[in-house]
Order: sequence, then structure tokens, then C-alpha cells
Amino acid sequence: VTNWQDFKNRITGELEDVPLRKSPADRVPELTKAIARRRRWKWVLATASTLFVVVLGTMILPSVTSNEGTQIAHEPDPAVITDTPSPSPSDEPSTPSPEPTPTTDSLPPGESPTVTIYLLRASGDAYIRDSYVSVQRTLNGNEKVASKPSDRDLLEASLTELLKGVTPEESSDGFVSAFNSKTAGSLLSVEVDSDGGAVVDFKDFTESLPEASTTQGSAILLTQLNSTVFTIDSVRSVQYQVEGSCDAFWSFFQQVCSPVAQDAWERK
Amino acid sequence: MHRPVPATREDRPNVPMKPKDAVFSDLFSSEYERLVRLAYGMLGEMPTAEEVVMEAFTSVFAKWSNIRKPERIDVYLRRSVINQSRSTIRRLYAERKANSKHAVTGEATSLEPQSELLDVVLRLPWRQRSCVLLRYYEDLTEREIGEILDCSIGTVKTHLSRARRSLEVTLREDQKAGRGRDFE
Repeated sequence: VTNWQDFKNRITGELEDVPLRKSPADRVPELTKAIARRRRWKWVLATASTLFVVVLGTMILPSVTSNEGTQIAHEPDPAVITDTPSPSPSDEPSTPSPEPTPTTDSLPPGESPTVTIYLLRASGDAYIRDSYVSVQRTLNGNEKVASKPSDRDLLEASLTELLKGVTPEESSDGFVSAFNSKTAGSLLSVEVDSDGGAVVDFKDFTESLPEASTTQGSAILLTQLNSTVFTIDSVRSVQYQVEGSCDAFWSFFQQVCSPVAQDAWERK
Repeated sequence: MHRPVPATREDRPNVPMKPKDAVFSDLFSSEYERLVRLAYGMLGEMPTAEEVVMEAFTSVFAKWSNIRKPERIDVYLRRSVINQSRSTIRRLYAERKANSKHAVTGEATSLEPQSELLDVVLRLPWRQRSCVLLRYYEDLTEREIGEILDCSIGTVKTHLSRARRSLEVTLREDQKAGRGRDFE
């Protein structure tokens, strides 16, 4: 068995017999310089890293901020829109016009959005299409039309206006409507699919329109509705419903449920 | 680390908690020579051993603020010296092998054996050599060695056992060959 205590003494002796080239005291300045050099490099690296992060941040942050700004621009405060007139969809004056309501995404500033509805001349024949004239209504506080004037929103706004009936000014101008103040707010929902198929759902307004069940009354109501609906370019057909039921709508007019196609309507 | 202070190191002061510069100075003065000789045992070459220890001190002092337990600085220093020694052996061995016209054979374990018993120690694999030097030169316990080498006590015991067996065989063979290393 090896004498490990002897081994310990011998190996210690051999290691300690070898002289050092320099004493620790002579090495201290060298060590100090080496540490300072190492720390300087660490500082340089840390500074470079920080600068890199800062530069990267200044390059990325503006683009992020501008993206956020764009998103905010698409979601304006409703109060601002109500108080500040929003751009108009068209340069046409607010006079009766057969032109459809434009559906541009951005409205010129300083102009209120308008929608087109059809009213009957008081002196006109309810069964003749020319007796109906288009009237533009200026919207105030309609956020959806002001911010995102999609065809669906414009159709909804148009029908909402139509269901209000005639205004005192329009009445004094000799216009009449199948709708009146009692039918205002009777619109439940409006949907327009990608093929231009519109579905318009109303509350049950039959009790508010006792005359609409007559032949003349139904002709006025349907002409006003169809003419107004088809002012929206992309709408190719429309399905009317009363509280979700197509039959409930058409049975009021003693007709069967069927969608109204734009082509067929214009050929009449 | 509850280190039993060896007889040869009785005059070595404990590492005090002083201002940083004072700690550096005291630590360097007290540990430098011992660490150089430990590195010399690992490398077999004094100038390289000195450079390795300087690098270890520089490395530890430069990141002093990151050291969680300054009172264990002796463990960090020894670990740094052992690891630096291993890296240096590999690097220098590769350089010398590339520069040599003659083929160099064997494992990259040491540089130039200088003395009789150290010659035998330097033939041990790196881990076994570290354990032997820390046990018989630094006089550390197996637990302390495991702490420095970042391994378990069982692993240290295994390395030490294998190292002793190798040393016994080599020393016996040398004795039979008449080279006079009579440790039996």
C-alpha cells in the first residue's frame, strides 16, 4: 500500500520547490491593469448593447405608434362625430336626386353624411314610378355611416330615415310617405351578403299602418321600400321580414314570401 | 466551506470582508503563490501556470459584483484555476501539435513534466489529477473538492480511488525499473 502521507509531502515539496518568476507584489500592477482592461471591455460591450437596443427601439416604436394611430383613426369617438359634421358621401346638394348614395370609405371633412330615400309626391299617382322622388336626408350622429359607410350601414341608415316618415319641411314641399312617426325605429336588422342579397327585418308595424294593407297603400309602401333599398349599388335583391318571418311581412300585403330582385323591380 | 487549515497554510489569513480593493490585495497576496503551484501541478509548466492564475484572478475580480458569496471566493478561484488549466492544456497542446513536424500521440493531459513525482501525477487524466492535487496538495476534503469541481462526493471518491490505483501501479513499475520512487 502506498504511503499517501509520504506522497503528500513529496508532491507538496516538488510543487513548492519550483521558484516563481515574479512575486505577488510584482504582479499586482499587472493584475490591476488586466482588471481595468476587462472592465473597460465589459463597459464597451454593455454600452454597445444599450445603444443597439435604443436604436432598434427608435426604429420600431414609430412604426408601432403609427399603426396604433391608424387604428384609432378608424374608431373615432362617437361624440366627436356627433358634434363635428362628418364628410359627405357626395358633392350633390340635398335635393331630390336619383343618384345612389356613394359608399366611399372617407367622407370629405366638413360635410354631413347623407342617405337617399324615396317619397311620393302628394299630387302623384301611387302606381306610377315617376310619382316617387328621391330625397336626401342628412344624418347627424350616425357613427356607423360616418366612420364605416359600408353598403349595409348605408342601407340601414336609409331605411331608418324612411321609416320616420316625412319631415314637416318635406310635407310642406308636397311629399307624402306610407310611413309615419309611429313606424320610426321599426327596423330590427339589416344584412347584406357578398352577393348583394339584402335581408331587412322589421318590427311588426302593421298596426301603425292601417292603410298599408290596401292596394294603394301597399303599392306606396313597397315602392318606397324597394326604391330606397336599390339606391345602394351593391344590393341586387332584398328579402323583407317581420320579426324574422318573410311570410309575416308579405301576408300583410296578401302576397307570398319572395325576395325582390333589383332587375325585376326596375323592369316593372 | 469549512476547510481544515493545513499545517503548511497556518499563516494564511481568512478572506476578510473589507472594502473591495483591500479584499483584492489581501486575497491576491495570500492566494497567488498557492494557486500558481496548484496550476503548475495541473500543467507542469511554471510560466503558463502563472498566466493561468493571473487570468483566473482577473476573471473573478472583474465580475466581483456578480459573485453571490464573496466569503467563498477561494472556491471560485480554485474552480477558475482548474478550468483555465484544462482549457490552456487543450489549446497549447493543439498549437504545439499543429506546429510540430513530428506526430504527437496521447491525450492532451499535460505540457512538460518537470519532476519525478509530478511526472507521474501529470500522466493522470484531468479529473483524477485535479482530485489528487486538491486532496494532497491543497489538503481539501472530498466535499470541498466536489464543490470546486462541481460534482458529487461519490464522484470525487471514484476519481481519487482510480487515481490512487493508477499512481500505485505506475510507482511500483518505476520502482521495479530502478527509478527510485519508493513510496511503499
